[in-house]
Amino acid sequence: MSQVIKKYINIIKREISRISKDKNIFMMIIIVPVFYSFFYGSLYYYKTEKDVLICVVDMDKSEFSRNFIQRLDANELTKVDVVLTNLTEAKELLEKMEVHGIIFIPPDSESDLKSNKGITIKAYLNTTRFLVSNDINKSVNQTAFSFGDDSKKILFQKSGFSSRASEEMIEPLKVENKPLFNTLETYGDFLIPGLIVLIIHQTLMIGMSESMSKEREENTLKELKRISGGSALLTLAGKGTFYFLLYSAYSFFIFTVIFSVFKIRFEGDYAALSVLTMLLILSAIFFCILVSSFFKRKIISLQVLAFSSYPIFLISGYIFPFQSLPAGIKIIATALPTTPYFKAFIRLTQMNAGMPDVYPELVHLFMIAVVLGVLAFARLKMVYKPFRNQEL
Amino acid sequence: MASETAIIKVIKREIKRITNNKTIYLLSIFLPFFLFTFLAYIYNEGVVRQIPIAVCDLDKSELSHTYLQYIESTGSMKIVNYVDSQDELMDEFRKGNIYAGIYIPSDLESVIKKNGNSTIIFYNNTTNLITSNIIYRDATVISKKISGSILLKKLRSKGIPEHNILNMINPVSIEVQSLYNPYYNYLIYLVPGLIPAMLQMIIMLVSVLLISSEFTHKTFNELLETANFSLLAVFLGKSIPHILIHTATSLGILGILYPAVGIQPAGSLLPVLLFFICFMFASFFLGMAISVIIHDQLFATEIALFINTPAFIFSGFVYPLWAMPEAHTIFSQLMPFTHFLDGFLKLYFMGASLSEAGSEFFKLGIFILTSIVVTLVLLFHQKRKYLKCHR
Repeated sequence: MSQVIKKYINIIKREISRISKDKNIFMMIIIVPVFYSFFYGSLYYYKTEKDVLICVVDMDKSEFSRNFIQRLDANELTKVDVVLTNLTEAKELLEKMEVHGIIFIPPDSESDLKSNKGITIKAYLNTTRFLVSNDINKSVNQTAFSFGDDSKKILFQKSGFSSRASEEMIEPLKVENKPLFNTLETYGDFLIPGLIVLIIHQTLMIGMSESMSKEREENTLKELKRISGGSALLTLAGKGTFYFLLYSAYSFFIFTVIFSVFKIRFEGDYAALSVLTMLLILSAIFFCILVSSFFKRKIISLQVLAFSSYPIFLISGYIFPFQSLPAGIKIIATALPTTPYFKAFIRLTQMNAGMPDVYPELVHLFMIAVVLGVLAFARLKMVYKPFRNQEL
Repeated sequence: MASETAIIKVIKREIKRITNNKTIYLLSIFLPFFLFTFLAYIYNEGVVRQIPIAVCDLDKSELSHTYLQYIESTGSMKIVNYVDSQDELMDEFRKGNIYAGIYIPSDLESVIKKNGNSTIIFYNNTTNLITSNIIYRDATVISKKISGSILLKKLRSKGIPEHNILNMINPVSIEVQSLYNPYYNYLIYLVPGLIPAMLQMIIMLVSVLLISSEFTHKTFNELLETANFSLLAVFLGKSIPHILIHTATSLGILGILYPAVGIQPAGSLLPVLLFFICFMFASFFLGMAISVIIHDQLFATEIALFINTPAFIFSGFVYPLWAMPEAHTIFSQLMPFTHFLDGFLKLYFMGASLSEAGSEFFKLGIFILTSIVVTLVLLFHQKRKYLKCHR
């Protein structure tokens, strides 16, 4: 037994020594995760976009239109950059992307409203960028509703309804939108947690894969087999332990320090999150050992895994809802550890969820980890095979 | 003539290197095909539909039933569960079963019948802004629609003329014209940005190897000798084969992939193609300049990754540049993709003319020019070093 432990410790020591001597792996697993977490996280430091520039074409030039423009400008989502009286000029600004939307107030708006005629204000939105066009849409609708409500109240009173009755009649059925969990509806709170997890996951994958493919590049697999006594299980455990401990520490650092620095609330269950994160780290380690054992050079690991970041994130369901993905993509996504992780992660950190709430994801992730572990073990046995009859 | 022969010799040597190096031809030729098709396929559905929601209907009236029918008729939401309390709604959120929950109070219909107003609560999970924005938009539209029809009935019963009623219900209406992507299709929105970002990454990851790999494998001297010590031959001979491959990829993206998935240009394709090739040049020569500066090919690849991984997020495509801290905005300017994006959107979706994308052409031009100058100066320096050693 002591021999086994000794071998296991020797593999860990060897791995630490290799990392400390290899500037590429060292940079990837020690410097990049911390630097990128702050660098990416601070991108959304202000958390939300405000004051989207719009142009108003005011063909009415009345008190009504001036008030309308004032309310649009006062809305925190939009800023009236310029007021024109020519739609063609406004469209030129839109095409130059100097403004992101045009609000067109038609002539005689005020007089029409005064004579009980409804008016239609047009909003031209540049929808090549969804976030800003949504903001303008929201702002212009909120402004129009507020004016509509004022006008309705006056009209009802003119039609003989009392002030209170008019107030109640404005909108018999109201919808109160209650944002939950990201109550300020900021882009930062939406994206930062997921991005930071992705950074940690990808640097682990690249660093670990570089280490494994370096064994082939430098023909050190034989040495590794000798130190492990020919045990694929000990190799798997020994090579993975340092990464497991390091990335567990990083995860703790993220959920405490980074979340606090970027003011991301943590409303969940630390125990469940720890189990979930450890399963993700294990799955990533097994996956790396399995995949990178096919690469003959470190650079190939780097090149291949670099291109996996975006697809992994995009199909995880973190941004684009899982049920809206095509069937084929869903199958691929289900086989990836990041998919159940992200599904549970956001609920555990932001939505007060506990262990029982994420039980299906824990089981899913556990199964992925077991399958990958078995495959990595089998692959290592296969890799060791050519050295079987040679003197170790 | 001698220099022409030298260029051809270097081109032949480079083609041989590409065909012998599995990594380069996989990255340059096969990866774009699979990666770009995969990215386009992710957003094949285009719009987000059938977002799962739950309902707590304590009223169970005709009005609440109508309201829920309207909700499902939008297609954007799908009622997956009916619960009996708000606590159960919250449980559904925590289990990850729903993105939104509708709470209908027990007195909804009776209050409205008594000329009062009633409120339906829409609990919206805003940890995902894509779904929450869609839910908010549709929930608001439906409540306005139902409020309007309730008012219509009330005002009719008061004997107010029909044409007056319609104006009273909706005195200030908004007509939204969503230009360039009227159905808010995610395929049309994201894919034209994602693919060039990935293309920049591919181009740079290959081009950072051009000269650095010669140093890593100690073949730079051989390269100089093949080029008869002509810097122009080195520069052109190494670049031309790759530029041809990337031009073919660019043509494939604009001419085959985008039309195949339904991403159509608003105007002529020629200016778009010119701009796309300009972007490809900017990415390629920036990578080549890095490969002359950094002689370790692995380190050069890491630098290329450092520049390219954040390219999409830092470009201002999804989250606007003006909302970022200044340091990040400055960093974003160091990537060709940031400058490409505005020009591409103008040319491809807005049908702008070449002159309207002039400033973006100019910025990409600066990348190209600076990178070429840096590459040639450093190559000249390396050549001098070599000649000094062998004199």
